[in-house]
Formats: sequence, structure tokens, C-alpha cells
Amino acid sequence: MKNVPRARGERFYALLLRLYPKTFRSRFEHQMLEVFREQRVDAKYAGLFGNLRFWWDMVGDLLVALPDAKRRYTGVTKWEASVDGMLLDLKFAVRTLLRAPGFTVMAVLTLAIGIGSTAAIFGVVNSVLLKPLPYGDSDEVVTVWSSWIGFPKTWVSVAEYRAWLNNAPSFDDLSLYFSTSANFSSPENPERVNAVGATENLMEVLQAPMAQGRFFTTEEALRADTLPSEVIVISHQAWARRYGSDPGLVGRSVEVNGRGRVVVGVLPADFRLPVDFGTADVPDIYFPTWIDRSDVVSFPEAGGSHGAFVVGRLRPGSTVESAKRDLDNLVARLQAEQGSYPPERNFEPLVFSAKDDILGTIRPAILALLGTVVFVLLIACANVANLLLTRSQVRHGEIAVRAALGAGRWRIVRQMLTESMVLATIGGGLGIALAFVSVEIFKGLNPGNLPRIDEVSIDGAVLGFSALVTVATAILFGSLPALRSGSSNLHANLGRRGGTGLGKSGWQGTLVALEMALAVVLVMGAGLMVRTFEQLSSIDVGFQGENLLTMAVSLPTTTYPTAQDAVNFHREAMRKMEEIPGVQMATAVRILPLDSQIGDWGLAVEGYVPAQNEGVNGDWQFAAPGYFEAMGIPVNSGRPFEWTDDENAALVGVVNEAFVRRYWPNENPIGKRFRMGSDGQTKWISVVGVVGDVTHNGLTAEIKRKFYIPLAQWEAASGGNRPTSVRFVVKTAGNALALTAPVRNVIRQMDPSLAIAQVRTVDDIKSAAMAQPRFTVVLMGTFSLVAILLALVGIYGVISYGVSLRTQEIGIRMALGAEPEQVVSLMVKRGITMVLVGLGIGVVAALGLTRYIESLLYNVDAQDPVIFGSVAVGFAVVALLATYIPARRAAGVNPIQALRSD
Amino acid sequence: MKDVTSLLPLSRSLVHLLLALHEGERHGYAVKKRVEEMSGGIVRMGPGTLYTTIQRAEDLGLIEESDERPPPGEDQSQRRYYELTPFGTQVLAAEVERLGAFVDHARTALSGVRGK
Repeated sequence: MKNVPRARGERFYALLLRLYPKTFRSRFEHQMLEVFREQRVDAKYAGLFGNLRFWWDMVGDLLVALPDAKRRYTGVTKWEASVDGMLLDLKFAVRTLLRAPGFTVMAVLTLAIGIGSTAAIFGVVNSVLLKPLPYGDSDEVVTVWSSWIGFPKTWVSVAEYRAWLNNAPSFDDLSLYFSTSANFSSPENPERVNAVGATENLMEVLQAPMAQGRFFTTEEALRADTLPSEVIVISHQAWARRYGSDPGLVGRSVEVNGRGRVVVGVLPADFRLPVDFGTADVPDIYFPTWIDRSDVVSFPEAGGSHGAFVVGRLRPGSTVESAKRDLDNLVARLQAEQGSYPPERNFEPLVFSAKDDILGTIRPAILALLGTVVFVLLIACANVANLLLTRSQVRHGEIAVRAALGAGRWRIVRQMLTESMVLATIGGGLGIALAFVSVEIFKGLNPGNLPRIDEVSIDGAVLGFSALVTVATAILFGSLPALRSGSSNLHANLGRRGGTGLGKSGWQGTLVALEMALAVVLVMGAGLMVRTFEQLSSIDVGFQGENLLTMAVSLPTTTYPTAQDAVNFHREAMRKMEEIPGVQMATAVRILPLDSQIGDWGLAVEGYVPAQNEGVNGDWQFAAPGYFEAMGIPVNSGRPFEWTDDENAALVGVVNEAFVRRYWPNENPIGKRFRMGSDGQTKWISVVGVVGDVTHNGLTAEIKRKFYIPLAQWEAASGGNRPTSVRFVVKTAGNALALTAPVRNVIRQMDPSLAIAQVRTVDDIKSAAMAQPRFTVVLMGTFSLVAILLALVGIYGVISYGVSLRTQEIGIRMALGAEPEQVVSLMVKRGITMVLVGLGIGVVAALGLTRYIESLLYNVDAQDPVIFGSVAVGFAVVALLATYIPARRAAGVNPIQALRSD
Repeated sequence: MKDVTSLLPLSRSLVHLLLALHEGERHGYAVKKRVEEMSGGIVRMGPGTLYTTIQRAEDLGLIEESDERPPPGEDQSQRRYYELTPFGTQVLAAEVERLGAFVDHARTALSGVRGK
């Protein structure tokens, strides 16, 4: 007895044998392993491909034999007989497919791609668009915004909130909240985090549960109106990250902004405010905020200071439209009665359903992608249908014999459909695996600012949907070939083998033309997206991002009570950062362009007489010397900030070109003066320089007038504000992120309790601004490429099959003196027809369909003639090439052999 | 006595198994090789198909395990040999008869078509 250890393959096979029933195994296991060993060493299974073939055969054998091994032979009822019939169909189908591995692999892969892309994108649709928001009755939750000229959708003011509470019957209730930041300030683990101040009714308006504890009471909110809050609510993320998910945290005090505060509640893990769906950094700390709920007696002229968010819940029976009407009426009344909201500025309150607001920008992109993958799936179906039609021609003989043996038409159709179902099931299984992988890739494409993409998963709903798609797919691609086989004329088919099969090749041509048309539509769409992406990429944002490291630091009032403390700290930090080898320059600014929204500040501009009710204002920044140089923002006239522009020097400012265009057109702005606020209380600021415009609130957002004040002069210029929160900007010689640690260390050594946040490069910030167009263009591009490939495989297959069917005819033609080129052009002609018909239908369909992605385009016409033209020409060339290559084989036909061929 | 014709038609693998054993008793792998040889590679038998067919044939009483063993020392103790039963021989003959009738019929049909 040889007692060699079993090879790995044999151990695996022994494992597979466990699938057989126990009685069968006990009887035959040893013998089967014996046969396995003998077969393993068969010469035809040598080498890598032999190995693959061996396992293909083994698994196939298992699939065919399993139902047999489980079957009993006695007492078969009618029901069992029909199950047996199905099993038999199944077994036969598996066996037939295994015997044509080339065909099977091709069909399965095609289906896997089609079903897999559909499943993956449906996963996105399901998680992003269909899943309700984490609020009770989330359809009734609305967001309310303000807008006026230059501010298409912006914050609201406290006065507006109070007026809406009392004059808009469509709302059940409204809650106000605003973004801020705060420090977890325990010395051992300081952390700067996003924070929110919210009215105590926030969670009631949203109808969101608390994970632990509670939200704020009215008393707590009222107290916070005059004193620093003693209570906070924290996010689930902070609870897990900082407190190790300690179940006893609620009720305990933690240090925030240098003061102990009691955690009264923890939010659920999936909770997000409506404005936080597009961000990776959800707020970790909530503070109570008190707002007097009574109506405003004397309404401010421009609505007041706009800086808060409002979320509301509709009263049952009310709609977004009725709420909007309430607010419009209110604005009209305030204009008439109090002279508020000057009409020239087009004040308009906006109401959105929360879901529309959150998904507004990404919904059309996802729907376009869904359309794309449905097209890919259809192309895949057409391809497999074609493969099956081709094969059914080869199988004429077999089918005829089965019909002769008494198989009815339905029986044959059922058999063919079973084969389709087996193909679709395997393809669907692979496709779902593909979807799991794809979803991870989608998430990788999200830099954190695409709403809900991080929630995407392949769950039960997606699996169910995929199963449905799989069955539908099988019916779609399987029924045409099956019905055609079933109707085959018995005598004709027994009599001939092969033949031109005109009926079927007509169908094949139609299918190929259809594939072409679908692919053309997709490529047009992708072309428009690529062009949009180019246009967006070529937008000059007005600053450069290379080798710039940035991080945010905020100084708590408890340890840095005065503006001078803050200025001293920032100056010292910049000086120390510049001592680090590799750092060329260290500077600081209030907020970075494309990173967060910038708002405006009312101004008085010397010598400028505003029109009646015209708001004089500018977006406000403060910056340290070196900011313009580091960011590559050009100084077009005058000078940038110097270190001498300090707290003791005369107040200076720098403005952008848009500012000059508005307030001092045709004048030299250098030496002109403006001041912050319109009440005449602040000091005049002299303009010393004009810098280039910078895109701030988004790539395609309007560029507004902006002014910059030296960091050291901010307190004096703004009338007492402190520059406590800054973004340090460090210009490095090489890779900026490599200097993260030494730059952080500067802050840490100066004050270990300070938290550092938002460590990233300016390049990353610029890149994040392109996230959604990139997401769309990458996915649509990839799917279109897949679609083209499938369509080309389709036409290639049909033409080369046509050539092989007509070998005899070609031989005769050549024997009679036809030139090879004539023969090739004969074969190509049919391809040209298919390509041109497909192209024609595709272009017409694309002209009609691309308008659905119009909202995704930028600076590109949805029917751009250049793109349509070049895509059509390019497509025709590639498709004709796919036709020509197999057709050329016709020229290589040897007449003698061709005539002999069957 | 079991009814011979009630088992017809036999599955393709069963016919081939019986035919292979009709030539003399064989062990599993030898049956597989012979079947593939006889069918010109059309009927392929892996271990699973082979032994489910053998099981079926044994259950129906068409074949049985042979008492014969190869000479000891050839180190093939795991091998079992199978042989046709008299009933198996009858069933095989009946199936071949049935197939022959079908082939004749089909030939006539085909030549008729060709003549047109």
C-alpha cells in the first residue's frame, strides 16, 4: 500500500465529494478518488491549461452527477416526475454548456459584466436615492434657505427664522442650527472638531432618535443664551473614537473649549444633519442655542445677518410649494409694511424637500449612470443572444434528431431556456461578485464630499434586484434563439448541415445594429462628460496648489483671551515653521478657497455712491504676509502684505479685481479707502494692492468682490474681532505631506492642548472640488468602453461566423475567377450595413437622450456637433475595422478545400 | 422476471457502460477510458458521472461487482471490478435493437429529403 500524503488537489476533491449523499459516498468514495488520481495524470491534462481543463471537467462532472446521485428510482409521483424532468433539463444543459467551454466562458463573462454593472449601480441608487433619510417621516422634512443677487442659495438669519416660525402655517415646526468648531481640550488628547449650535427642538423636527441620553431641554438652551453651555451632545463617531464606546459616558463631564461640560446624549451612528451628507467630517459636538420664538417686531432691512441653517417639518397636508408660497407672501408683506428686502436685490426664500436638497447635485449623475448600465446590460443580452443564435445553427442537427425522437416544440424551447437560465445564473453569480468589488471602487472615487456614497452596499434589496435582473436577462437573450430553434423545420434541418440560415443571420444583423446603436448613445454621453470634465479642469481657479500643506488651528478663548494673544501665537508659529528644513514659506489665512463657503461683510467704500437699496459689501478674508505669494495669486498692482503691516501700523487692505471693477472702475484703486460695517464706527482701511480673482465657493460659482486684511490688523479693522481660527499654509520644496509631522510638532510644542485639524494639501482641496464630475466621467467612461468592446465583439463574431458559413460559396466564386478583394468587400458589405444602420439609430437616439444629462454638463452643448461628429466617425472606423478583420479571412480561402468542405 | 423493455430507452452513459462491460469485466477507470474511446470522446465520464451510472446499473440489476480480483502484489486493492449480469445483457441487446430500428427509420427519412 502506497501511503503518500494526498496532493492538495485531491484533498480539495475529497472535500467536494462531501456534497454527495452519504450512502452514495460510503459506497463509491474510494473508487472515485482512485479514478480521480488516474485521470489526474492523464497526458491531456498536463500543463497550466491542462490543469484548468482538468478542474473544468471535474466541476462539470460534479454538477452533472449530483442530481443523479440524489435521485431515487422507485415510486416517482407526477410532481416528482416534473421535478425530475427539470433536473434532467438542467443536467443536460450543464453538460451541453460544458462541452462548449469557449462559448460558455464568453457568454458567462459577458453576462457577468452586464449584470454586475447593473447590480453595482443599483446598489448606488438604492443606498443614495431610495433609502429614506435617517429621519422619521423624512418626506415631510424640508430645508429652508435665503437667496438674493449673487447668492443663489445661502444661509438664513435669526430674524428670518423667527418670522417664518410665526407667519408660515405650512410648517409644523422649524429648527435653526449653525456650524462652528470646538476643541475637545483634555490635555492628553486634544482634538479640534466640527461643532453645531442648535435650537433644542432639532431632534423633534427631524424625528430622529437619540442613541443614548437625550437632546437639550428648553432650560438648557435658555441658559446658554447668557452663559457658556454646561451641556453638550456628541456624535456616535466621537463617542466611539474618543471614549471607546463607553456605555457610561452620558452624565459624565468632558472638557470642551477649556471647560468641563456634561454629555447629556449621544447621537445615532447614521445621524447626519441635512448639510452634512456631503462631508466626511460630521460635527462631533452639539451645543444648545437659544432663539426667542416670538415674531420680530422691527424686521431688519436686509433680513439681518445671514449665517444659520434652518430645517423644518411640514404640517400634514402641506407641501414644499405651499411652504414656499407662505414665505413669498411674508417677504411681500415685509417689503410693503416695513420696507425690508429691497426689491432690487431679489430676495427670495427657498424651500426644498430635504432629500432633493441633499441629493440635488448627485441624483442626475446617478440616474445617468443607471441608464448607462441598463444599456450595457442590453448590449450584453444582445451579444449572448447572438452567440446562442450562432450556436443553434451549429446545433440544427442535434435539435432535429431530438425532435425526431419525439421531443415536442415546447420541450425543445424549455431545454434551450434552461440553458439560458444556467448561463444567466452563473453570469449573475459572477456579476454579483463583480458588483461587490465595483462598489468598493466607487467608494474609492469619493473624496468624502459625495452625499451618501459611503453608505453604498450590496444588501438584500440589491441581491433581490440582481436575481430579478438575472431571470429577466435569461428570458431576454434566451427566448429569441429558443423560439427559433423550436420552430425549426425538422426535415429541412435533418437534410442540411450548416447552410446560410438567412432568417437567423437577419436576426443577428438586427441585434448587432441594435448593439451599435446602444453603444453609440453611451459613447456620445461619455464624450459629453469627458468634454465637461476638460472644461471644468481648464477653469482657472486663480491660485496654484502645488507643494502646499495646510492645517486648521483654533485658539480657545480661555487660554488666548485677546486678539493680540492670537496674533502673537500665529506669528510665532509661522516663524518656527519656516525654520523647518524644506519649508520655503509659512503663512496663514482665514479660510481656503474651494474648501468652505465664504460670506460677505457690509462695507462703506470711500467715494462710491450706491444705488438706492444697493448693498455695499465684499467677501472677507484675513491673511498673513506671504499668502498671495504662496498660493500663486498674482498681485496685479500695488503690493502684497508685509510683516510691517502689523497691529501698530496704519490699516491696509488688498482687494481683488472684482472689487475694483465694482467700486472704482476706471480709477486707480491704490490709496483708496473703505471701511468694514456701514455704521461709521470702524477705521478707514487704505488699499495697498490689487490681486487676481480667486474661485472660492465652488468651481463654477460666481466670483465676487473680496477684500483681504492683514491678520495682525484684523481686530482694529473689523472693530474688535479676534483672528482665533486660521488655516496655516506651508509652502514646501518637495512633497508637502512629508512635512506634516514637523509642522504639527511646532504647534504641539507651543501648546500641547491645541487640536490640529483638516491636515491636507491645497492640491487635495482642488481635486475634491472635481469629485462629482470625476465620479461621473470615470464611471460613464468605463461603462461606455465596456459597451463598445461588447458591441465590437458582437459584430466581429457575426461577420467571422458569416465567413465560415459561406466558405463554400466563396470557394466557388474564387474558382470562377473572383478576386480576393471582391470576396472581402462582399463580406464587409453586410457589416457596413449593420454599422451604418446602428450608427444612424444611435445618433438619432443620442440627440434625443443627451438632454437628460444636460444638468451634468458644463460649457458643452448637449448636442455638441463636434463631439457627435467625431464620436460617429471614430465609432464607424473602429466598427468597420472589426468587420474587416474577420472578412479578410475570406480572401485566404483555398477554393479546392472550400469546395470540399461540408 | 423483470421487464426488459420497461427500462428503455437507456441513457447514453448507461448504454456505453453496458457495452464496455459486455467486452469483459473492468474496473472503474478502465470503463471510463473504454467508453471515451468507443464514443470517440463524445461521452465523457468524470468520477461522478461514472459512479452514478454504475450505481444506477447496479440498482437496476444490470451489472454487479465481480468476485475476481487482480493478482495480489499489483497494489490495486481499492479497485472494484464490475461485470454484466444476464439481465443486463438482455437489456443492452433490446436497446441496441431499438436504436437500430430508429437509425433505419432516420436513414429512410434522410434519403427521401435528399431525393427532392
